[in-house]
Amino acid sequence: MPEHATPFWSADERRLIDSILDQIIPASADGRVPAAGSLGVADFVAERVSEDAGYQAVVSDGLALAAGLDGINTATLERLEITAPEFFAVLLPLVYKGYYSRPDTRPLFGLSAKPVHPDGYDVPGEPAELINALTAPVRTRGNCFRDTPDGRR
Amino acid sequence: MLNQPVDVLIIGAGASGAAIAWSLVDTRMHILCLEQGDWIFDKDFPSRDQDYELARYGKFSCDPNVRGLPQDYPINADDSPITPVNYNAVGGSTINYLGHWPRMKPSDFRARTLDGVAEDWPVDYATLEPFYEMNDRIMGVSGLAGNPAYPAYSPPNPPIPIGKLGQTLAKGFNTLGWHWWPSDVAILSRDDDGRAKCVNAGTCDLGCAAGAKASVDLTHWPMLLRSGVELRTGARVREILVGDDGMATGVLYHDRDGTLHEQRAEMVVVACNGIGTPRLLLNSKSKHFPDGLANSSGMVGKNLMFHPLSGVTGRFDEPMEGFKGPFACSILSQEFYETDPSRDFVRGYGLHSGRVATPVTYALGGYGVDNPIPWGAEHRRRMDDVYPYIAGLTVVTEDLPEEHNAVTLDPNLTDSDGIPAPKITYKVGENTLKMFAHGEARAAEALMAAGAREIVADGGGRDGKVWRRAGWHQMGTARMGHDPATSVVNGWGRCHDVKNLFIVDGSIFVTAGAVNPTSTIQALALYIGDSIKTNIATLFD
Repeated sequence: MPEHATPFWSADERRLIDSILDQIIPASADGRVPAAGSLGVADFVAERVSEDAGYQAVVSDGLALAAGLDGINTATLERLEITAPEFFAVLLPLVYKGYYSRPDTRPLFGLSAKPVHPDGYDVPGEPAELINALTAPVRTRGNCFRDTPDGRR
Repeated sequence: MLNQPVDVLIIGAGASGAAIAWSLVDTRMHILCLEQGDWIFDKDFPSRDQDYELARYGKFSCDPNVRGLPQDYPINADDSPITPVNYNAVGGSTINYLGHWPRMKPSDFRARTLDGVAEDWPVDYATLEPFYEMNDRIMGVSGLAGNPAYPAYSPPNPPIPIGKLGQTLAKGFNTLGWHWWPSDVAILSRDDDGRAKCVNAGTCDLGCAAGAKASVDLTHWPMLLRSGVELRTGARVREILVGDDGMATGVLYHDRDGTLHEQRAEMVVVACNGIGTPRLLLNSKSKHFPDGLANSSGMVGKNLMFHPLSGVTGRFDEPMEGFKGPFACSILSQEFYETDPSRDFVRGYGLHSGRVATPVTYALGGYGVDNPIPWGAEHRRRMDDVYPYIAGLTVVTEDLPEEHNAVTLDPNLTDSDGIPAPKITYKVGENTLKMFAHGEARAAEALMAAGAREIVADGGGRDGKVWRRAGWHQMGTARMGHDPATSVVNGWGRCHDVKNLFIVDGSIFVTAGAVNPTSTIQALALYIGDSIKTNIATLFD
């Protein structure tokens, strides 16, 4: 977990937000997928919050409440979510965006680490025989649109 | 500033503006198009960036209120569960549309006669059919011939891969004996006309950096410019001007510096989509038209139709790889498209299989939805045990025209040039809610028949919980018709009230069908262009 202060948060605040983020997106049991705090997603959150005065107020208030909790764990954060829903309403989308848009997390879910252009993904075209076989029952049923009363299609 | 008069002035360089310019270019008339946006190039598309998905929630959002670019105008959608989405640039919303390309059906043009609802169109499928076909070639449509849900036609390119997800769902539909077919798409399945085929990036909404998706900045404008059509970008039209004789004389527009210009024209063509067009007409008040231009019927801005959407998602045993392939298009079921008297609603809906479940989108609640998944242990479970295995069906309903669903002018909100912004007042109709109840149940049935282990999201459209950022299809706000008392334009797009003013975009739709409208918008624009040429000698009589 990063132990340093950032231009936006003090070292204590940074430790606090990291511990909250580790609860929001926890690591997988096998350690393959890292938790959000340990991955440094707080940097992304700080960047976005610093750009929005409304976010700053909500996050600052939320962190102040979190600092007074009896530790950061699922139970305490669930209680905090009830008392400060706006904190979570701001924080969750930022954490999810910051976490899943990273080139080092995309491959954990099957996506390419690289931008999708120019390479994209390899999706082979279906052979004509397969498409014909799949569509055969549909074609066998015949037309399924209505003609108009004047017969003009 | 006064500019040299032109023969034809087209407002908007998107799908419909480009299509009618294409039709009229062989007349050798002096054609000028004014576009409030600018050119955007493939190097500027976010899909080349490392954090490309973030653009979907910021500078490349489909929602102009989120994007907030200088060329955008704000839209007040506080009184609507659906907010209109668009893009303002050369190419218009074809820059960020998804390229799904189904046609409307013969019955869509005869809803009043067949089902006793809405109105019949003054044109029919047979009239538009050659223009659909012409347009499919221009756009480079890919699809599979022989779809029994339509009169026979053949897309010019073979279908794009339907992928593992499409194959899986197709088997489910076959098990139930329901219609499905590979989607027609304006996306190349093979290299064609200088454009490269699709690379299955799944970011159609962020601009197609491969050029495989048919956006009209690629398919139309290069040829139009070579043929002498003039395109002026950064030109936002403030008002259409009218002379003492009640005919349109041209427009006032702001350049990108805000300077006001007058541009005179013999004929004005409005191509600003179903929100921008009524906004412009309502902003064009004069002594002849105190309630807005071409609005003697009072129908300008009325009868706004979207396609309300909801999604049903199933979890399968194997990864579905939904992020691979064109965003919205794999297969389409139209089993429940036509009216069935045994149901408690009229008209119908389609079941669309979209792809696009990237981790960011999924975690935030889905495309066009702001409803993040839970945090904590449940988050871990959703991402590891659900997300990779999901496939979904989108219920795309036909919206019926209702006068209270409307575009008006916001009394306070303006764009950066001080032009009043549109305000949307819209409510999902009772008929649509019944469609959702039926469609969401059928979608779940199809997913289970395809092998889903469970339904993990069952929609919510039946309770009015439609996708918020889903106002792609904006129709009906300046509708066609024979009767000037109940419609804005005639059967070939000419305003009843102003005989040298034409409208060619989705606002002239009489009904919405339950399919993506761009193929019909462009076919209509080509038909209107053809009608203008046919009637050129008596055009303004």
